[in-house]
Amino acid sequence: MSHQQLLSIRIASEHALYLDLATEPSPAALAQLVQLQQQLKQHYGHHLRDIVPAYLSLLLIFEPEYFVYQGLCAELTAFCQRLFQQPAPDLAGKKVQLPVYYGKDSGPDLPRLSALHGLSQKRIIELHHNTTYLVYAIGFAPGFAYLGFVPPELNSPRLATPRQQVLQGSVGIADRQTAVYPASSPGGWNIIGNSPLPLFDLNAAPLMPVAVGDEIKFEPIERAEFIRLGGQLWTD
Amino acid sequence: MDRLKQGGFYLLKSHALCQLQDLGRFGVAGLGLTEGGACDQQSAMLANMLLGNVAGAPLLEIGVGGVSLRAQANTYISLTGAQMPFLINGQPAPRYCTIAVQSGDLIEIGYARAGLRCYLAVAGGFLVPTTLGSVSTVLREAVGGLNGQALADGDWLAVQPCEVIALRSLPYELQPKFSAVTALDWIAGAQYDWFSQEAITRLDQQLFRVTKQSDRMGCRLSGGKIKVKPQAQMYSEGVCCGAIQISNDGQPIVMLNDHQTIGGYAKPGAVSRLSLNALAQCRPGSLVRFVKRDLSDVQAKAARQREWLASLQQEWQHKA
Repeated sequence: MSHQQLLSIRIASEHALYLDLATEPSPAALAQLVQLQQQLKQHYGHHLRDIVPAYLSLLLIFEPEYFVYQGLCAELTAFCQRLFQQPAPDLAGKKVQLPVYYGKDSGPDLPRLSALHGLSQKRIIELHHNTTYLVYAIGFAPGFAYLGFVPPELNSPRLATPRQQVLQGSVGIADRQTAVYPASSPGGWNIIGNSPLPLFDLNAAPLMPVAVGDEIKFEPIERAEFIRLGGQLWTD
Repeated sequence: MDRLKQGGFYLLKSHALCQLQDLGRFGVAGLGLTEGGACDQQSAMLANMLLGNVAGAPLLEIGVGGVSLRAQANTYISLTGAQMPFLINGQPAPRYCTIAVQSGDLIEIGYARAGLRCYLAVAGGFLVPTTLGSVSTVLREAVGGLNGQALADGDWLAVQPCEVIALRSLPYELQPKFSAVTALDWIAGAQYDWFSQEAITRLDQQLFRVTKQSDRMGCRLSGGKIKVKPQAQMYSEGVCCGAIQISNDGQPIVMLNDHQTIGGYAKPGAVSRLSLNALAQCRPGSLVRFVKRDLSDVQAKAARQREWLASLQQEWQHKA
């Protein structure tokens, strides 16, 4: 039997609610979140307009006409009870390798993080790519996957002043999380490298090579290989 | 323009706030794509219904005004939402009304006198390809519209050939009005417990001003600080349209249609969809006040509104 519980149901809006499954993120809670997401999609079909998994909770947005709060609370509680009586699911996500070129011309914050943590740049890079990450949420921008968690030595606060422009593909660290910017955008994460693979493509099916619950490993590549794969360098 | 295309409209004068919209893009919020869609959904639905369209047919949302088009088709249009001067070939035309236009007609929309966003619909809806099930333009994501962009001078919008349709209009007394202070019905939810009774009272008992940093993502308000009780770390969670987010500076941001899909700020609750329609018409500098309601009250109001729209639609269909 799974040790998961439905901790609480909270109102989000007049036709949306949150299901809370945990108080701290963990691979087990994430696996349950992903499984619950899939089953609820199937169960409610088009009545469930959207579902947003993130760390500890699912946000369920229903069609306004369909949303009867008390009824849904009872139904969702029973649904979760049945599901959580079954054996705990394994994380059934894909294992995805993302090539990264780590260098000063792809990761402008490497020197600063090195000074901040008292670690060599080489050591920072090693620590970052020797860790296996899980996708805990996707948001902020289309395809922006929040990956957890970096080793404690790399825990780094966001930039005091966000950059106006972070290059597409930039690999950043913010607190315990790391992520790849799927498109150029403003951003405050500490940039240590760049991945040349597109992470979000409106014309691709699926739109993204990764999903919540997937396992991500970064694969260091050389500068020449990065350029060959179409990677862009920081010119400043 | 010596050889003009037929069967559509040319944008003669446009800008970033003139965008193709429908009622939104659903099913992809989990990938970080926001819902988009008309910010004042009711005005958009009425514009379409005046032409016998489905309520979510592709139309133009025009923020602030200052847009002109040339008809290159014999068809029908309607204009709803903000009060903007509306001229056809230089002659004033009524809002909330089915209007026949002829190929060659010049359609001019001036700057808003009251309200902020108007909706221009055409019989059958504009013919534009959907992206992930919707034409809604989201500039930040470069998704929807024409190639992910707002409409620009010279853009061409195709429409379908149109038969004669019944002329409909919404009586003035039924048209949405704009008030000096807009009341925002909201319901408790999300991190409501993170706010003291005093903070909630403070939220409800003061007037907030809409700031000029507001956009389609969120309506940023300014007023007396709303404090959040000190908390342990908050993990990011999904964010929905209407959510009231209290920023670190204690100021509320009400999430509009292009809101971010996840966030880590405390939210005492959410503004009702009907009040969001009114908020979408509040220009910078205008005043709003929050009014806490029970979920059942807000839902009953929404149900009455749906019934009203359905009865209107039925009445207008009988005219066809």
